[in-house]
Amino acid sequence: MAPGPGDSAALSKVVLDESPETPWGLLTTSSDGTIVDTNARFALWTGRSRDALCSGLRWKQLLAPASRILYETHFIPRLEAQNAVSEVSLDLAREDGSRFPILASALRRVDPASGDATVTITVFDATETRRFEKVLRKARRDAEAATEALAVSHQRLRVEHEQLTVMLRSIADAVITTDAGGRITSFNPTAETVTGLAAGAAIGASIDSIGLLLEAASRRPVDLDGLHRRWSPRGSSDFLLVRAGGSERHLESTMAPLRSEAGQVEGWVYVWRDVTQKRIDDAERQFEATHDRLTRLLNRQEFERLISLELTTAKEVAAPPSLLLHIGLDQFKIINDTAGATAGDDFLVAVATLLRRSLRQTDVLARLGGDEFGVLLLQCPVAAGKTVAATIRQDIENFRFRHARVFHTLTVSIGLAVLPQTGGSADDALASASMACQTAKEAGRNRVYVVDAQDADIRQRREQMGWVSRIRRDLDDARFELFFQPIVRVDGAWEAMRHGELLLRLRDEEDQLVPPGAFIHAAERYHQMGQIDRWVVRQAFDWLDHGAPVQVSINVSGQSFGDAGFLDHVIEQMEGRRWKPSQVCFEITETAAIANLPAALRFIACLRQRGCLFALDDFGAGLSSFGYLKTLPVDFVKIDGSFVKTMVEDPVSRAIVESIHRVAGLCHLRTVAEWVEDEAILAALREIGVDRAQGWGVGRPIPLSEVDIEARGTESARR
Amino acid sequence: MSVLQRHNVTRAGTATGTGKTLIFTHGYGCDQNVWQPVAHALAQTHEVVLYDCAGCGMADPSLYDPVRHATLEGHADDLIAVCEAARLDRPVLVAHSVGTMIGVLAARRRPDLFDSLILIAPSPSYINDGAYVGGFEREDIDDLLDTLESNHFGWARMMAPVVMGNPDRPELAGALGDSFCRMDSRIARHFARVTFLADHRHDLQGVTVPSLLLQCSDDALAAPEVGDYVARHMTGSSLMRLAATGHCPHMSAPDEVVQALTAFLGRHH
Repeated sequence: MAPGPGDSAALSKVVLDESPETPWGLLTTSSDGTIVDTNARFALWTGRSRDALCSGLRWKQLLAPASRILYETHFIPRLEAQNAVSEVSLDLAREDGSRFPILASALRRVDPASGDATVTITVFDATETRRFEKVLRKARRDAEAATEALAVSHQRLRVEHEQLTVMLRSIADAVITTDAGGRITSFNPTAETVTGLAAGAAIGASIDSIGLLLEAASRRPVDLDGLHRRWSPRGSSDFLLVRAGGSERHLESTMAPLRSEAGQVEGWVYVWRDVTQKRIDDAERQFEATHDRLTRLLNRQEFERLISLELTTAKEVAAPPSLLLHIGLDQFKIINDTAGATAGDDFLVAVATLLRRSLRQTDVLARLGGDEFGVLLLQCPVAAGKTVAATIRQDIENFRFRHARVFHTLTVSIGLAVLPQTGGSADDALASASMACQTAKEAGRNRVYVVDAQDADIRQRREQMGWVSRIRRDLDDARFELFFQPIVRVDGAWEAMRHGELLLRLRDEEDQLVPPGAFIHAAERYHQMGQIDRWVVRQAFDWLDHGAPVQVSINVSGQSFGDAGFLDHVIEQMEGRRWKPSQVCFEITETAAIANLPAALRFIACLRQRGCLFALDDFGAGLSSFGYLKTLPVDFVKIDGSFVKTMVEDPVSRAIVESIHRVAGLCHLRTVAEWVEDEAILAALREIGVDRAQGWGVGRPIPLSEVDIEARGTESARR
Repeated sequence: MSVLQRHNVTRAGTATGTGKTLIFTHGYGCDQNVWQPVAHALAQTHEVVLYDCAGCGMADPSLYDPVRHATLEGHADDLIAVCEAARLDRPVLVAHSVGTMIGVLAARRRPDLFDSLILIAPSPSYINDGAYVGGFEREDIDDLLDTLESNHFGWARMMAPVVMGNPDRPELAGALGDSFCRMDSRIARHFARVTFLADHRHDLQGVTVPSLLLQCSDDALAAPEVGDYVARHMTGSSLMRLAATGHCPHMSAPDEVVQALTAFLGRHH
């Protein structure tokens, strides 16, 4: 069907314009592309003669290779399908190898008579167009390269965005971003958890709509705009978020502006850490640190802090003072011992509850330790404070504590102290109240004692408190000294060895001697006697080592009996001494021995076994009973000086001295009379037959150093 | 969107008698419309299935993936996917130009899928390589890309969209207008590079199903030597030279092509 090249002559020849001035090329081909005729212009462009072109050449053979591909894949299919092709860009390949760009349009006509097809092709010079296109192409390539670079950076940003998104999803903080208008633009999963809102609902909504934001401390609504204005990079704030359901979350909030490149604030990012649980934990820790574990009342430390706070708080002059109560349970030990420690604990809790009920909301109640409670009555007139204390005392007295079907009752002693309006320390205040409580106990318990600033008893106790630290310091500084007071035979008979009592003196800062009465009481009250007794024993034993032929009496306090370590100390100190144990006589008071009889008996037995002697001191002064003279295995009885001193003028005193001496004699004990101040007394003692005498009348206390000189003198005189 | 929709698959005719199902793969630069004359004739006795390759005709524009379609393998995968989605029972593949190599790759991969191949104007490689005469030098292909672009400039200037002919009504083929064989210029460039720089000479011998090679005379893209080369390297192939000239015998001489196809289909079955 398609005509071959040889049939071209048979085709009706198209008359073409012969003018070389025609600006476009024109050619006709058969349907298979064989050139039938061309115009001069086209021939000119191809660089061939018209004859050469029309000698059976297919026009695609004039095309450059690339154009041939285009011809086969684009030009022909269009021509076949539509019978026309318009403006296809092609390159003519000239014989000299150069290219001539053209724009070719084609029209196919079928002769209805013969059925043969003729293709008319119009060709335009596309040199200029192509040059223009080349520029365009370069511009487009550049644009494509830029687009590609943009795509790459877009891809990188996408990856970064992806990473950030993953981070935001996994982060434990709520992260919320808003635009400049406060509209939420992103909302991570933690934000959903914290706010209880779905991201879908939150995004696009106003930041204000997620719940009520309060400042944690003041519970005032948060002023976000204000925070934005005052924003600094390091600020963080504590917020409370009241969620739609009313539940609250405690948030630690930081925020930062999102800025455009120009520095314009385009939104905000809020980072909220949910610290609700942490705050609860903190509060619990804080509570544990400031409260007593058993009663859940404030502990002593916190109580002291509050007192200090109160003492430093400025008050109006006319304002009533604040009061301090020290409440001590009376003989609480009995409940612990009889019902058990658990019952004791339960009782303390019950008392705490009872106390709390008796107090005002503003009053401060604490457990100071063991069985002691403290109350701080803020700005409370003394009269009202007394009433409160009395009520408490009454309430506790009326209270029946049931444990194991047994009811227990207890009383309290309460000390009330007035806090100074300004100044003073919490320690002082607590000590005053504590001493007032002690005074109440000593006055018979189950009562309230109110401290008066002028209170002599309390002042004395305070002085004693001062002694405590002083005794410790003085022991360290060796400010104590021992004096020797002779004990002589009343009958004047010669003795191989001098005898005397060692007395303790303290040399104060002004080098004045202080008699023991000033500090022994304090030392006993504050348990310092053990220290003093140890020191005396050590000093006495060392002195005896110097070789003086004397027998010394050493005082031992009741506290030292109870201290098992003291006996060990004495035995240890006696090791390797150059004197005989019989040179030492321990003096103990009747009262002290009776107070801890088993310990006293053990102490006496142990040391008498080693050869030491014992004297019962101050006999007759206390609740003396002659029965003890049978019980206590001592060597001497020292008749209390108060009877001896008055025995000359007072027949009763003399009778007492006589009877003590007689009973002692029956018990095979020797007697020593104290406070022998003059010759008359000594004569009376001689009449009665008392063995020995001690006192200013027979010998004043002298320093140990002088005893050495006297002893040597005696020795030389003897020789 | 299903695979069939994405590839704009159209079906016509029904297999009668010994009639087989034919699936047509078009070549570079056009779309399934180039098969109208041949498909229309064969639809009388066979079921015919047409589709647009990715990037061509009415195929879903998003289908073209520069990575997947960086080699003809991607198009071969598409062809396999279309056959499977259309549930074709061992169809005869009729392919033209670059479509022939798409078919070769698909048949190599899935010998079970095709009954036989009919390859029109096949060429495994367009670049001259030593003794092998592909017909073009590497620079010619660079030229082609420029020329293609010039044409897209031109086509862009005379944009006059004409409604695409309804493939179910072949009589509208004349109204295809400018949208006929139009491609996105970027895809055109990419597809051209993939097509004309590909070298599938080594893939030819992997084909095991019978094949018919139709070689045109005076084809600027596939010289007679190329046809011979393909025939030599594809086992079970028979080469048939057509009187039709040029690269598109199915358009310029559809009767001759239909005849050749019918003869092959008849003889083979």
